[in-house]
Amino acid sequence: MKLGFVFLLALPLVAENLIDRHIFARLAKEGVPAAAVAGDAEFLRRVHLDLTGKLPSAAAARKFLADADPDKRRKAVEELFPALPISGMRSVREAPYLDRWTYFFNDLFRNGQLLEEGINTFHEHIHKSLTLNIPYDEFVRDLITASATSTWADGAANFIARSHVFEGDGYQMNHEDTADEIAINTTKLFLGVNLECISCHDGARHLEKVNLWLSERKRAEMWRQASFFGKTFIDPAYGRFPHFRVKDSRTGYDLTTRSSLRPMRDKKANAAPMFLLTGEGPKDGENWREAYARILTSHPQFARATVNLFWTELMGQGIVDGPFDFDLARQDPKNPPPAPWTVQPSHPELLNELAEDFRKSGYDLRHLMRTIVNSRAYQLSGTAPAGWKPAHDGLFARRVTRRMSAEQAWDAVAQVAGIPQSYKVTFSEKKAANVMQTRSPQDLEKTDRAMFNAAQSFGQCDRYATEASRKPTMVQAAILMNDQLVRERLKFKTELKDNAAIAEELYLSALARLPNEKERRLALELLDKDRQSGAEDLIWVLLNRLDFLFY
Amino acid sequence: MPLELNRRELLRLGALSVTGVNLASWVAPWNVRAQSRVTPRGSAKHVIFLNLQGGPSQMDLFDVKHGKWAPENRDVKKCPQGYAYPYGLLPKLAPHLGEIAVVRSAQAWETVHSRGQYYLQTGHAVSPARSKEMPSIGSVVAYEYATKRRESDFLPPFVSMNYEPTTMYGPLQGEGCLNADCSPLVLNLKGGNLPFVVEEKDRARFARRWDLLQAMDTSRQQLNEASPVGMRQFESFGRAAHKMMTNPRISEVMKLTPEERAAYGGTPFGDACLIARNMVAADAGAKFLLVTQPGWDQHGNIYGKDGKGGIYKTSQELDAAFAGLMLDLKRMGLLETTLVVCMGEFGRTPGELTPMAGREHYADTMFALFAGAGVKGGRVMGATDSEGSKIVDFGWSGRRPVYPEDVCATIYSALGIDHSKRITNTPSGRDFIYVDPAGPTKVIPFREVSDLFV
Repeated sequence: MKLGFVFLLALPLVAENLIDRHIFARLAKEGVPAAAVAGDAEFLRRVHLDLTGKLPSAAAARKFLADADPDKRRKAVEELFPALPISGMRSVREAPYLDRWTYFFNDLFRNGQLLEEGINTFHEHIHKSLTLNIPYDEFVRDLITASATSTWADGAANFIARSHVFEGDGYQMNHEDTADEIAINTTKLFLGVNLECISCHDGARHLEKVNLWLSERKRAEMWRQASFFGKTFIDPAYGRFPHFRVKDSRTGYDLTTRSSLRPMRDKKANAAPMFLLTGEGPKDGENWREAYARILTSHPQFARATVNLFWTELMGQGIVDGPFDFDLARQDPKNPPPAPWTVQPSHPELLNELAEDFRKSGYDLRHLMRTIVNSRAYQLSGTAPAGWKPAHDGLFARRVTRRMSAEQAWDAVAQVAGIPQSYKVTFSEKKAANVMQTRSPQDLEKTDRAMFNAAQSFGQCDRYATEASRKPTMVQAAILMNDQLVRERLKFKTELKDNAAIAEELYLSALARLPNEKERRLALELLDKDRQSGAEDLIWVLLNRLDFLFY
Repeated sequence: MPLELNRRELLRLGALSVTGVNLASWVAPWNVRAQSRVTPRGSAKHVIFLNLQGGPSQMDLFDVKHGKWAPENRDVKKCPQGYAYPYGLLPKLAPHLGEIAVVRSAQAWETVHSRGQYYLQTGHAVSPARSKEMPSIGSVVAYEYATKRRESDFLPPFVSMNYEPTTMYGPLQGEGCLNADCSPLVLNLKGGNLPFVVEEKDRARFARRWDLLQAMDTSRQQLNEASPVGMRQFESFGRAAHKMMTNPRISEVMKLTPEERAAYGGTPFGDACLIARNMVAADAGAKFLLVTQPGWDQHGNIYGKDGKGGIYKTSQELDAAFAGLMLDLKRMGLLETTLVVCMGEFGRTPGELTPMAGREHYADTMFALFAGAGVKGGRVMGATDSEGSKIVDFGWSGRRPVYPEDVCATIYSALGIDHSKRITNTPSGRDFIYVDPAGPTKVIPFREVSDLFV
């Protein structure tokens, strides 16, 4: 409590990061107390889980806690990024950072079984792009413009192919519906704007209470956004849908065809490609998809939506909360929307500056992540300071504490309980050494149905209908307490001879900290009575602690 | 007539909710109003909803039609109740037809699975702007029963079994804008194991560990009003789960004997129906039990090959489980207070089969079955033409098709819930009416299918 107060007073001295300048100035202005800076254990566990999806090992935690270097946090962050490949050298074998963000993009792009073996090429494309730290704007342009003779051979084209819409039960493509889906997906993922509503009807008389900008958009504008993909042909290369060809061989977006998803289109509307945010179209002779990729990635909203997406993933809450719910008419505090609307971002200037910084860095995702996790704002404790009120949580006055994702939770349980993991990789001879390395939920399903059910219970994204969820449920609590997956596989093994050392090791492994005096005493009572069952009880307790699952 | 929760009710809601703590303390009390005078029937204490996912063929099951396409082995004969019944497909259910009312004038609004399932689960039309805040019927039931929970209740009010979300069928609808207490307990009986039963040999260890956790988890001990909502919810759910796991009666709910399982068909659907039966019998707070049977989307080889697969397989599963359920509910004297509803999200195309030897999605005709809680069984309501392609007699006082909204209103009414209630302070700002008369295309006075009970 006291620390937070002291910290607030010390503000001008420490706010060197561009994020902190905005966050703490705002807190000071509103008279909102900030939480204390998180302790080393809380910080280390958080940054490991956020950047790599994994808990720090007991050894890493012990080393970090003992390190007296004032710059140790920044250095610890740096160690989590794998080195960029060097000519002539093999790339690093183990890079949890790459697994974690590949999984993130696999979820984001719904890389699932509808792509069959394309799951693997798409996965590898994403993994390689992250290994090389390809600038995000180029990465996105690749996805939007990729063509392929087969999506089983060519990873990037799976992004476009994933949006395919079959007619009825899947023997023919619906070309215009597919173009609509690509437009909706790209606008959502890369610009943060959800066109779903105006893909069926004009915004007027529907969205007045939902989204001011979209309430003024017309369905016909959505067709023109989709029309950029009017020449793109996705061809199920043989049979029903094993793999796809993607090429630009069509004549254009045809308003007269029947939609299998939406009401009839207006046959007389203008269907020439036009970018929804600016009214731009392709240059003479320019490939339409390339034009779209060019216009989209050079628009400031691309950088804004991207930084907000990664901010949400790392901070637990967006500057625009709901990374795909941008209302473009409510972004500029100098030009505020009419009452009762308010400016949408909690920190509009911060969002713009962070976006500009991201652009200047060459759309470097690692730079963006570094900027966020090295900020004081990121490193605040989750414990509320004195004077806390619920409304303060919208201002990033403390860490937004979250439940681990399904993948994080199961890998953490396995790591602490010493449960060996190995999963089949669908359509491949490879094995995944942990959940974060799996390529789709079907890898778990095909390896161990109970494990699949458990991951689904923990809100795993199925890449079809559901999004990843961190919502707590009763089943999750019961699974951790009593599912055979934990109960029967929890077997303690150690080389250590000393019970005090065992207790330390378990606390470091689960919570990245040493046990306090009381915990040490209770742990020793257990271990001294019976080392094996005592250790297993202790592990069970650690796995069921709230601050194990929440970080 | 405004009907707002008063402070005392809210406190009680907190004290006896699923999780036994005041989970409502961080959500605004919802502003609930009733807009018209509906007198709910209140004849049911429990509802079991058998969700025939995919859309069963009405022409083969409960609105039997004939044609060149019809296979012999459906073994259609007149049942004692006086209608043509497929003894070849549903032999075990036949003795229970006296308790089942068949509605043949049911109609769906949708022919896309995900939209139809959304309709079936929520009683509302799909609206992308509202789907996140739209509670499932089970969650509304949970919300309504929150103030009526008893100290001895150890089961959550809404349980969903075997619904697997896919692109085709969409996600399971949950509590939407209602609080976390109203979320479904989601169980999957396929290949999974249920973590709620602590085996006899493990009980001492489990008790010891639970006590240790209370003593050693400082993060649990330090919970307070300023603690993160998710942590507080998880802790509450943990206690609710513990209450379930340590209740001496949990085994009778969750543990299934091989004999019982065999009697219900030995399938995940059969197992789920058994658990539903057990939950009703336990009378321990579980009110709305949604049991899903996948596999009814029979576009190809609907009559299987060599009399196997296709509709034979799904019917066989349904037959054993549904018959087992009916038999036991009667035997145990529970049918009088349990409403059983059985239907899919839509019907299937009548007449000749497709070139794939299957049937496509069809909204204009479908069946819905009702039993228990005062439903007068042994009869048929409504009629379709000779092919089964359109309704020719609605057969009920509504003088229009029975829509999913009417089924929803019937469920609410049976449970004593006024379906005209509305929640006015939803996140989107649009009123949530339990059964919305706005309908997907025009205003319709949806209501309980009261004729079922007369």
